[in-house]
Amino acid sequence: MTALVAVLVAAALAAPVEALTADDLFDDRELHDIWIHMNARDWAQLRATYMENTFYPCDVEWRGLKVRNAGCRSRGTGTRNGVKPGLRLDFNHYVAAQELLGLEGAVLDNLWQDGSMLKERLAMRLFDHLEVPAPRTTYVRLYIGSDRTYIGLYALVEEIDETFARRQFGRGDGYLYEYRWKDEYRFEDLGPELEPYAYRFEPRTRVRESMFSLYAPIRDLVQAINEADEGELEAALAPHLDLRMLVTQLAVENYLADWDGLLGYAGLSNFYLHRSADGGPFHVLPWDKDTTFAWLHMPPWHNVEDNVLGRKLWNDRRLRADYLAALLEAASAAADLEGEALRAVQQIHDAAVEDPLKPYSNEQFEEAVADVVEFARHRAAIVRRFVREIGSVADAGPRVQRPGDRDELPFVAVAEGEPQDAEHGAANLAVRPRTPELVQHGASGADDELPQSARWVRAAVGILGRKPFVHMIVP
Amino acid sequence: MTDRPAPGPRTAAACRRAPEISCGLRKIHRGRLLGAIIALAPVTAAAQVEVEAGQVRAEIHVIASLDWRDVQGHPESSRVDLRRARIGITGALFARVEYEVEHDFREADRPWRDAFVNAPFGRAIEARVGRFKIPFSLDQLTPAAELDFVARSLGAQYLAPGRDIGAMAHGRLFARRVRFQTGVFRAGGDNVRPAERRDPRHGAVVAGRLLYRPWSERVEAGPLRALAIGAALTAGGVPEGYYSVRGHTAADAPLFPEVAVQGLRRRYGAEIDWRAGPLALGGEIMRVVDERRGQSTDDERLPDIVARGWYVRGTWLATGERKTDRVRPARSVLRGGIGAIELAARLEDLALSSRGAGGVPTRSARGDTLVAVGDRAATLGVNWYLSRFLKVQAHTTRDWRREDGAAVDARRAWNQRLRVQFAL
Repeated sequence: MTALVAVLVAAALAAPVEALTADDLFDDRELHDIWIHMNARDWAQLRATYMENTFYPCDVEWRGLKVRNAGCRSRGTGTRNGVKPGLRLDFNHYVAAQELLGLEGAVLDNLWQDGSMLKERLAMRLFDHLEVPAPRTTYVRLYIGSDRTYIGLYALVEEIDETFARRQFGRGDGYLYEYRWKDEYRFEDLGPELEPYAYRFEPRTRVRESMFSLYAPIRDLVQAINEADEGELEAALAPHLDLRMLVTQLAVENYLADWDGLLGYAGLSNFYLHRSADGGPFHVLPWDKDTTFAWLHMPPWHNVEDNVLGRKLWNDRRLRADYLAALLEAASAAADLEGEALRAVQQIHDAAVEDPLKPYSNEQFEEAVADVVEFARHRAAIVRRFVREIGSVADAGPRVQRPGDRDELPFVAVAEGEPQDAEHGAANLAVRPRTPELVQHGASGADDELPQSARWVRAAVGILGRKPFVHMIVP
Repeated sequence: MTDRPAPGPRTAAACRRAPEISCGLRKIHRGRLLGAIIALAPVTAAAQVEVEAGQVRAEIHVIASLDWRDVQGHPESSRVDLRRARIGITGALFARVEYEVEHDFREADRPWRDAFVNAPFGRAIEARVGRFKIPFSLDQLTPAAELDFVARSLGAQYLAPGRDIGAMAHGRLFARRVRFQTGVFRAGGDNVRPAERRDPRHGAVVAGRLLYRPWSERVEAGPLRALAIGAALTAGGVPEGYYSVRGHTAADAPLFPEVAVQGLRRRYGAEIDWRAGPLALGGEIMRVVDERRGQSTDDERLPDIVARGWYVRGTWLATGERKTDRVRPARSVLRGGIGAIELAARLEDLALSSRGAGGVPTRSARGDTLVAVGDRAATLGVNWYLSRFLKVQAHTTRDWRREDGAAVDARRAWNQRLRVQFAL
């Protein structure tokens, strides 16, 4: 009998533990803990030189699973800073073909621009509900170093790479490009040369292919957009672009009042392009949605007329109808957005409050959460009302927010705290809701007319590439 | 991550930043310079400068070498460079204190190479103070004018410390059968990575070298009288940083990764040298061990990394002259002869790995098990001594690079070098 028990116990112990998968890692029902083992000197160096893309060796540990000799570097554009650095993990940077649960890399979003820490997660969930391929996102408490120092709440974001493409499109051997914001660009025809496209679209796969095979399809897409006759857009773009998916994506972005997306204030921003290895139309993939939930009453066709593709799409009655339908669909899909926001808050609240490096106070965190929850509660009704109203004035076209209408923008860029250094200026650049007490200074003044804080912002704008609208306050 | 650029054409902008003579060579016909060196040889040879004034004696030395090299598969690497343009003064003060200074006009960063004084203490011991070569590696310690190969061995180039400021006692004991050199130096020599060289935290290095000629005084030993065997070691602290030793392939491609180190650096070397008439054989083996205290991702100690180098070499003077440090042709071309012709061959290896086994090999600068890398090279060549002062060397090298035991990057397999050297 004893022997039988021993055999059973041994068998139970020997039974294979259920293997962890990437789905477990991105399971957003729980708050994960990730421990990055990084030499103290490297961590200090990474923070000191956060503008550089230098990789440092690290071990990444999650649920007892440890990937050794991964690469870790600072990342981000507007969110890049040396206080709470955004991080990119590259599991096969030093060890060929090394993966974590099938992933070659991942992004640790520092939630730097989002006082509520909710926007990225809620936005990506809504894209996912509406079947727009979007990276998975979950919250993690991030620990660094041999003494396991808690450095704050981060969002673990799935990297858009071959693994992502395989999951979303069934194959990972296609063409992937990250759109790099360089200037205000809105799908205008850039001419027959390929260099202007290479300047803006950075290949993430097939990087060694020729300029022609990489960029001729993008040039053809842009030319098709510009040359398409009114009413013929859908047919003209069919070989080049998955227009249905794009319409849904635009609708979600404008539903969420994203001021820095495809119809962003400074032109195209924050997206990837994907195209199958066999050719076929491009898919536009959303990225970095921490500038959503910005303006509760934003018309859901904000900026649509400024963008070549947006304008043609809007002027096409059928596509406009599709767009409005997608807005209503987004409103339906977001029926539980408030609930999701509240559940997310419950999940992260303590970790956010204890976050020692976040660039805002706990009071500001609570206020920002309240704003997001209010947005989630009321936005559907507001969008539905806009859509109802547009039916009667559709022929007149939408009232479009112009970049010059700055007073109507509901947010301001704020330089907070002391600059980290003279060169990099206001790394603590944050977007804050506009309030009457904020004193605004035009960005057009000469440097010596601006207060120091404004100069920091200007310096930061130069570095971060945010040109057209900048409002500053004196701390 | 490399600290030395791969060979390639120098742009006009690069020439403006560092106007070396190789840039100037673009403007003038390089053949003219070569011709000038050859033409000047007899003139300068006849005009050796030696000055003696009272208690001061000074002798001027000049060395200039013009190199051409070509790396297979890299046509951009084919170029002519003025490799050395040095002038030096050696001499004595008050008959007892010797001195030497040497300046290289090609070196913008460190133009002063040697600068030291040397004085005897008793019959067997001398003391040297100043900047000079740390006593390690026969090949590294061989003066440039006396090298049998266009390039020093990889081990001598990268594993030996090179020059630094220090003080050294040296001399010969036991009827000159034993030669010793031992000293203390300010830092780790100028062969280390530039960042390490500049690091003010660097500690002192102690070094010692012992050379033994067991049969030097015994006539009955015959050819073995010229046999010399030796051993050397250095030890010194290395500050925290990506300061592992450098290493390039024979074709000058980066080989060793930058690895984070901290702690003690030890070098061990052994050498053998033998000459018999026109024949000379020799070899060295050397090893550098770097500690990695506190360098893991958890700030703990990692296994040491070990760089190894060895070579065996042989030369034979086909025209029959006796092999000496500075070969003297029996029939100089200046006197209507053909000079001395010497055949040279060398096989060598340079490798880096981490100690201890286990774990997946990685290229991480903090990996416990590093991807082992190495380069083996075979060199064949001809040295033509036109006169005592002028020689032409034509050498070809084939190298085999490996990573984790497998061959890689065969694109740089062959490289050719031609040198015209004038040394006074």
